[in-house]
Amino acid sequence: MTTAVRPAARSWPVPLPDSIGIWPLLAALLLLFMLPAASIISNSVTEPENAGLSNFHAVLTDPTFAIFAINTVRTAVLVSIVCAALGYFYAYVMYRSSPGVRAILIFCALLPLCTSLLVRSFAWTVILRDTGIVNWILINTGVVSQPVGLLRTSFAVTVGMAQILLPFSIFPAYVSMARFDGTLLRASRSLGAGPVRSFLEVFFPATRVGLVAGTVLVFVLSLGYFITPVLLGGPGDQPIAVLIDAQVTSLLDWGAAGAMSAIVTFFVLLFLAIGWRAVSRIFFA
Amino acid sequence: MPLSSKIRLLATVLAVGTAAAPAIAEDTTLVWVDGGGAYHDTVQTRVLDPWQEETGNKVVSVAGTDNAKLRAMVEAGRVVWDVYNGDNSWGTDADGEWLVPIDYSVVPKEEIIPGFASTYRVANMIYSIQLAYNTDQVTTKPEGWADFFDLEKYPGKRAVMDYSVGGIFEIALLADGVKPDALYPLDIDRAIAKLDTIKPSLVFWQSGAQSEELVGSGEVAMVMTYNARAYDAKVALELPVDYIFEEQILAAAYLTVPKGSKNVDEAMNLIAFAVSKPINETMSADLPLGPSNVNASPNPEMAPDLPSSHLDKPYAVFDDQWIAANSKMIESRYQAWKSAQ
Repeated sequence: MTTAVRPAARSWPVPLPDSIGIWPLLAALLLLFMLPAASIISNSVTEPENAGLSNFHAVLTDPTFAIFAINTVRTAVLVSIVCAALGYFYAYVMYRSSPGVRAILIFCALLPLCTSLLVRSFAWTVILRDTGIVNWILINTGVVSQPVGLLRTSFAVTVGMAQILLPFSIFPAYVSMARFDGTLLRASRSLGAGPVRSFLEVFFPATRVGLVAGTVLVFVLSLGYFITPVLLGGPGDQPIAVLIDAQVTSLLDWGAAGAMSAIVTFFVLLFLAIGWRAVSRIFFA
Repeated sequence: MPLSSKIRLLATVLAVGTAAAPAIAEDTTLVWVDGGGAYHDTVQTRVLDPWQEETGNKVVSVAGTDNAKLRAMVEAGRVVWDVYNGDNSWGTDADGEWLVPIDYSVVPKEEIIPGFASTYRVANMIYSIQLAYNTDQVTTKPEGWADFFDLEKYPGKRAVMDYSVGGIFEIALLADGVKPDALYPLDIDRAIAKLDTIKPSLVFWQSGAQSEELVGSGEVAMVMTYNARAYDAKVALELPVDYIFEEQILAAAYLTVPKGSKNVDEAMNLIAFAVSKPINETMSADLPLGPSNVNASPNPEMAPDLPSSHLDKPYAVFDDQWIAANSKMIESRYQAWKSAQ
């Protein structure tokens, strides 16, 4: 009788995908995303000829770039906090619900992903504007007499982006909860801990990884947002993508645009690296 | 070819690949590109259809001018646009790197309004930036940009074009009392000081359709917009909108030919056709767009709405050369001002 021996794993830093079906997708990503992205970033040192690091110097010393960078990070932090709180809570409700209710909750969480980003952002402008439904309700219930300026504020940007990004918070949190061993809670209760203490000292530490993974994803995705802040935000909420767009389309200064893109890409990769342990534990464990 | 250039080329070709598709099949077909909207339809029925009938040559029209895309095509050597109908910020000598000089042995320069035909471009219609207002909110007709900045006399929000060289600094200076013929070089500090007085009431619009929606719905009391958009809101959409021609800023749409076009000669013929008297005067058949040909007589029914019918009132003209030479400075001042809290 022979025992099947698995060949020794090859020494790649990450295990290679063992399904052949993944390769067309990887090839498409390389051709349609990685190469164009590399080309855009390479503009930062080749435009104008022999630019060297002059574009980076110009961009990093430009106070306007700093303002837009601060706007971008501020929005990303706000959206991350909102998504972390709402997403974890939503996942907890899913975790405690019966399978039937849970299916409905999953459906509701996924539904926004099925409509276009542009449509969802535009829908928020209809809801939040002075003559929109929110102000209509507020005025007709006598809460306010004049419409409250909701649209073109940081509030609108945060609400609009949080709604779009919420699924990225909910599902990692839910994955960590689904993997949680429920007997631990019973053990903690039987040893005398109340429900709050059990939650804070047993359940939360065990599921924190899902919260962290989701928050990292939301934060990183927030850094690249364009259309939602443009439609919902005021002048003080405009992200770096707007500045890059102006360099590319109005000024035709592709060197500066490349340098800005390179800087944003660097920080996105940096934040992903920082949060990678949590993300990989949720998605690959 | 070094590898990096190959990668760039490949990436750029991929990026413009979708636009390239129609031209691959038939290389002799001209491709015309303009900004789209109602204007696109006017170009089709008033310029391109008659040209196809008269010459038997084919022309395809595409909506969506994009200076960055044009540059990408020229650099990749994969140019599929032949006639590019850009706005007034496009086609000055500063853009010569990406354009073919207009062949004035074919195009009748002497028939074009002086100043509207230069090395790389020739105007095919005149439009303007004007003040439009919501008639429910504004019951006394405004008289100029000073009223746009007067929140006490005319309460309500104001919508402005979110485009540094689209006229926002110009209207601020006009409102502040600068004479229309003394606008350039723009005093950006003075313009910003004036804009700051109404900044909390400003709404920035990104597309012409949005400007119509903002003023038509009453979300803003006044808007600075293209005269054809104001006309569309009032006449076609029947919204409570009216507009004034006082202190309008005249601009033109220009025809240019991208460097690397495979049909340069045909493109020049089409441009000559488009600016010729009989064709050029029909630009005003459906929209308030003035002719650029001095001999053209515009649609008499449209006359009250044409920018060129109101030159007895104060008006300004964009100084495209100065703007092109200073666009970087204008853009960076604009972004810094706009984003400052």
